[in-house]
Amino acid sequence: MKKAVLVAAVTMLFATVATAATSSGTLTVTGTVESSINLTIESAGGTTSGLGTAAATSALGNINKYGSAPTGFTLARGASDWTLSSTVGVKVDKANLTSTDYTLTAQLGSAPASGIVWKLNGSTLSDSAATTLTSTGTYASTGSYSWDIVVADSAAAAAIDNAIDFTATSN
Amino acid sequence: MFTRSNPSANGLVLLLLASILLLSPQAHGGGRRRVMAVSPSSAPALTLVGMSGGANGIVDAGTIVWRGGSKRSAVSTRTVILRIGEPSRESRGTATVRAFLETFDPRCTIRIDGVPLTTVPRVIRRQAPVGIAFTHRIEIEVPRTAADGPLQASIAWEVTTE
Repeated sequence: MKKAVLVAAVTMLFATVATAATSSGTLTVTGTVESSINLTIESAGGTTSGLGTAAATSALGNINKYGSAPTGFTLARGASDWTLSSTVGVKVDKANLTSTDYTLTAQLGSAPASGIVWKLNGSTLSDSAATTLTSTGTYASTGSYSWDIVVADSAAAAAIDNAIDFTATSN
Repeated sequence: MFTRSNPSANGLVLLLLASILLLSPQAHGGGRRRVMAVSPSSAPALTLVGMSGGANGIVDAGTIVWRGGSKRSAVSTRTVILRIGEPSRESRGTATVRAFLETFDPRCTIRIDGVPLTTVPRVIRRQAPVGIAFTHRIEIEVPRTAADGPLQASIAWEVTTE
């Protein structure tokens, strides 16, 4: 009896092993993780579009010394000029980067019209050199920078269109 | 008259049991022989037929860069085309495909058809056709917080015939 049971058990084990046939292989995955930062314009005076991206637009419409200020701006009248004031919010995010802060600069995209001065954080912008706004910017936090457009009374009535190019560099 | 002490009855029962046990594996294995016909000694080999991004058995995820926005990670996606056994017009049976990370990079998560891989084999596909190529999608996900630099991992595949 014991012999018969033992033979049966061995037969079952053999049958089970025989049913499972397995083969295997390996696939190697490679890649390179690259660090990056991302700048977005989060807020600005004027009628804006593209906020939250790196290419925002602010339309001021028709502006004059004795009219009302555009949306999001204040207007201050001086003896020989007038100033539109607002702020620009800039956020810089980082990824796969150990840097703890960044430097932010700004530069005009083209020469300003005669009699027009563009300022950020009180510094006059030009199209020939970048102006440093901060050298200790905090990642993932929106920095607010004062934005002034000073118009001389002597400036010709014409479009003042321009672009402010922001550049963030990780420290 | 059958009693527990009847030696002839015991012999009959044992004979019956032995017959059932001996016959059942053969009956169960009848459908399996078609699969095993591809390779009598083991399951048919898994062959990498093609892939997007890479060559020579190496899937290159390329440069993985976070593109901004609210996403907390960057994902590189590749596809691989696999075949079990020799090519054929019709399936010569089915098999279960499992995969696991033989070596892993802690900075990334690798998924096959949405199934995250670990060091423990996980079923990627049941009833995969033997002899006919099929495609899988490999995703390599790197969170924003991971350190930069090269990454490398090895995916081990197992094919078990059914």
